[in-house]
Amino acid sequence: MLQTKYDGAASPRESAGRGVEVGISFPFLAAPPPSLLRGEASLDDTLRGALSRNAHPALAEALLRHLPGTVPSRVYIGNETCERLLPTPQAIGSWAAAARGVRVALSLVLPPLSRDGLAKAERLVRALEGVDDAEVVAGDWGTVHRLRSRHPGLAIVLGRLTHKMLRDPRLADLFDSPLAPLPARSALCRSGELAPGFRALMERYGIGRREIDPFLQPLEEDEWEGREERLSVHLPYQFVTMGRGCLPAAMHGEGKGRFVAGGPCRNECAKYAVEFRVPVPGGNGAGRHLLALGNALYHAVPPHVVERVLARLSSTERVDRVVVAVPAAERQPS
Amino acid sequence: MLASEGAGEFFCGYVPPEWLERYGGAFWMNRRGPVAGNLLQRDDVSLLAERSHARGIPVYVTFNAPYYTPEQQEFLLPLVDRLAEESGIDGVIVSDVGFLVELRRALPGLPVHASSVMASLNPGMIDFLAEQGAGRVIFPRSLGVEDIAALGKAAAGRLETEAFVLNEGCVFEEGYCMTTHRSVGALCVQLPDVPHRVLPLTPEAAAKLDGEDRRPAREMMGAFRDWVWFQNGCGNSVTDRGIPNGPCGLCALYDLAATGVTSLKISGRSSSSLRKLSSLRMVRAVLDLVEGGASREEAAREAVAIRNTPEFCNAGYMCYYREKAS
Repeated sequence: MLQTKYDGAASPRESAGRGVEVGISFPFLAAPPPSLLRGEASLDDTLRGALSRNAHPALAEALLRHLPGTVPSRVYIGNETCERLLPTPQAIGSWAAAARGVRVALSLVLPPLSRDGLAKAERLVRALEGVDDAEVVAGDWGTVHRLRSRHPGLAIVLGRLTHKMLRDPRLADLFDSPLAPLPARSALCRSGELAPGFRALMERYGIGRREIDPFLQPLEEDEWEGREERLSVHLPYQFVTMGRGCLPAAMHGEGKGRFVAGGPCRNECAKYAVEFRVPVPGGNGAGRHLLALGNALYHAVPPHVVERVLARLSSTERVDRVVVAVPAAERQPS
Repeated sequence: MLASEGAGEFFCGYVPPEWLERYGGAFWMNRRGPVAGNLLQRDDVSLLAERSHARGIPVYVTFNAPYYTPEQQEFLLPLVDRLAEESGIDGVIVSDVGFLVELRRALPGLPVHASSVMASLNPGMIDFLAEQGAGRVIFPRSLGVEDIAALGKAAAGRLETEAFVLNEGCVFEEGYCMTTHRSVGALCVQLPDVPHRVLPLTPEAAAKLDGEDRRPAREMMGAFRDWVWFQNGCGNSVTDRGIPNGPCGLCALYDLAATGVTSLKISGRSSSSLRKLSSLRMVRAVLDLVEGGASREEAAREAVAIRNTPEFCNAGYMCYYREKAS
């Protein structure tokens, strides 16, 4: 998360609701840049060298325009789609120590977890205990249940993978087409999370924050404001899909071993991505880019969607955090 | 026909005309499709339930869209109630966790199964589902036999369990796939044929991509193409004996049965009755062997022989349970 300089004296938690926080996520780095943990990195510095050399500088410019003086104040550790990238408890301990005292908070990101992954995640959560403003971003309801059962005081955030809405980049900007029946348009521009059953779950599990994507389709107002919990919105990548088989890992796999969940892996995801260009219907040859990052596909949303999301920040009460993912960055000086 | 060949349960989709009037084909009521693969008249559901019950076979109706808006849930609750009370269905299959909670509150006597689209991957999810009153967990396709065994153990006495055994693969984790097959087809099937490029994320990787990793990168995309093809029913093909090619767990049935899994799912969706029958006969034949005391090797050998496509079996990409592939 990032804080504006106007909230510089406040802790991230104290600033919630008054300022907009900006968190930085490095889903494929073995460790967050030390300068970021020490609270010394500017937004420009942090996004420099990012994978999308066009999108990220433009995003930094847009963020600074909407949130003047903002600096990163929260670091996301872990990967939202692959449990092989879970950090170790020792690493969490050292990062927490590095961040202590400089008002940089930690968010531990958990992917949808297997039974082994859940056991590992519980050890990580114990390593986070006592760390100010730390939170855990959960990617599945089983993890939410287990963590809430065993860690009643833990701040649990619902990760964006649990936000069930269609977001297919090939079609999503047509979801609110006036040619579609009104009920269909409405249903495609909101989730089921305001229904009584989902509300009961949010209360039962004490969820105070949920993450959402920068949707191509304009979400209905209620989807933003009709809820009790705070919202964190991701930029610039929209999650599209994931599998337990991994495309980059197939680079050095052999025969039957490729695409098996938990199969051989040399951390190819930290070295390579695959960019696809998929056609859009009626696009006269136009296409949308999808980025295979590890075992997931993402879409970097266009500038007008970034602007639409950022423009909400000044008028909304619920969205008080922006999460910027940096798939890869050049090594930064420590 | 399917009942006499040994089917123990049926599941189906039902889409009433009122849903189509509201949403057209834009929002599918279930994962089967907007119209095809579904019953469109409640009377047909009633008839299916009546005839199935006469043979002691339960019928479940799937409402497994990834989510339903509050308005859709208001529409669906009385519809499900009528299906249960008047058509006599035995339960429903859902994916939306909030809808599960609401169904259990509104219709506490109706069994609710957690769809594979709910992506139940860990024991925490078993506890979650048990607490919410689900009657069964349907394991997602990506789980291996050992995971199914462990989760089945965690579910024992609380939830029934169900695992895929034949047809209808999915390249991605269905519960976390936010794409639609509507109008544009399956993204996974499309990907191998669209322009793409491998991007290095570090200067070191850029150097390797021009050198030692150039060939592995090309091979990666070739393997991806093959995998997608197999998962997509080998191009939706059938053998000359009418046996559907594609995702298959037949040779893992010995181990799968040993997990104690309650039900084995044969996907059918909008496929022909002949394809369904052929699929059922294959599973029944191997399961009968297993239940008759055949060894793991004997059952696997028979599974491969029944399919009679050893080149596909040997490729490995067609298997649901690849760690157990023959």
